[in-house]
Amino acid sequence: MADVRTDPIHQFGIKHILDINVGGYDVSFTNSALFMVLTVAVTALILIWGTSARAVVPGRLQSMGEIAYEFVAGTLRSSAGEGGMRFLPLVFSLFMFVLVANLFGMVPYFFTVTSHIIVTACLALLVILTVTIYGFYKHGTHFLGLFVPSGVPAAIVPLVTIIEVISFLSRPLSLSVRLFANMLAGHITLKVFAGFVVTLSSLGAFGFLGALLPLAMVVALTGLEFLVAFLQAYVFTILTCMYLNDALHPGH
Amino acid sequence: MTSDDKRRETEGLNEGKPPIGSGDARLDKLREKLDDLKQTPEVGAGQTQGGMGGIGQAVKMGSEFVAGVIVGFVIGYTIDQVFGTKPWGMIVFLLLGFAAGTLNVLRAVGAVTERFPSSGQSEDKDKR
Repeated sequence: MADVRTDPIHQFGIKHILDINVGGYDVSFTNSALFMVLTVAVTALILIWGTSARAVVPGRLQSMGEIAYEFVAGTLRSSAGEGGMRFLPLVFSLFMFVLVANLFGMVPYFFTVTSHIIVTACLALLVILTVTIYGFYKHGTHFLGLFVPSGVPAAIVPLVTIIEVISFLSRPLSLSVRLFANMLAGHITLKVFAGFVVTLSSLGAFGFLGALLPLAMVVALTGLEFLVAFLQAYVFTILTCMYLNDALHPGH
Repeated sequence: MTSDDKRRETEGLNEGKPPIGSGDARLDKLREKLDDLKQTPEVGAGQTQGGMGGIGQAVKMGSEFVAGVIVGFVIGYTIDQVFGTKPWGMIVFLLLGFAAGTLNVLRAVGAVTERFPSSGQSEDKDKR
């Protein structure tokens, strides 16, 4: 049963490609690192190559780059305002990294970088640290006004403030867990149904017919997974924009 | 032809200096044009979210809520470890975390207004 072909967890295993050990710490180049590098390289190549022509009527790649840019810029502008545009490089990089990493995961035998919580947690921490540091840099202690909603009776202000702080701290957690859980659950579901196909079809002619059902399910799930890949990249981006909005306009 | 013109102007604008707070009249005009263009992709984005059905929404709500509770637990547990107030810190902060989680969910569905209504469309975004 724990056969590599049908084991749904096997695909998330970290394998060392190049063993590196620095001062007792294991900093080996793993398959996860390899696909992160590939993600960045492919994103950069598509964008640089695509925009190199600078045609008035864009070609396929240029059009793709322009759509991605205008989509992210529009999202950022509408949720964080004109002042948020200074964060466009960060938000655009995050969007492209998550999107390309998610789509890479859909290629058979490829490793899904975003299905590991350490990766998504780092991305979320990057966002929340940017928000916090920029918020304090821009507004100083006024940034703490974020945690004290206006129009609250003085008696319950401490309580509300603690709840707001917990709510703020829970953001990176929910941001990272959402992306990671979606990718992990999606890939496990795909693998489980694909495993049914393998197991059933080895049971002779009757099982072969029975295997058609999970096969149809796998086809449908693959489509759904592509949707989830796009959707989660979008959700990650829009929440980043909303948190950046907090850093730019912390209450009144 | 007009759309090409607009696209070129868009590119010109974005390649230039960071478009923050520049009072140039030409840039303002371009920005207005740009805003008109932005209307279309926004609608498309909304449809994508709607097409996902309830699954995306459910995972979103679930993670928002659970995140609040977990953070409350971790804060309470840490306070207990540091001050030796076992189990009171955990009990109090679990309840507060529960409240924060509920607040997260209500905020995510737009039942509680965003803290900062100044930022125009962000409220609208939340309701999706």
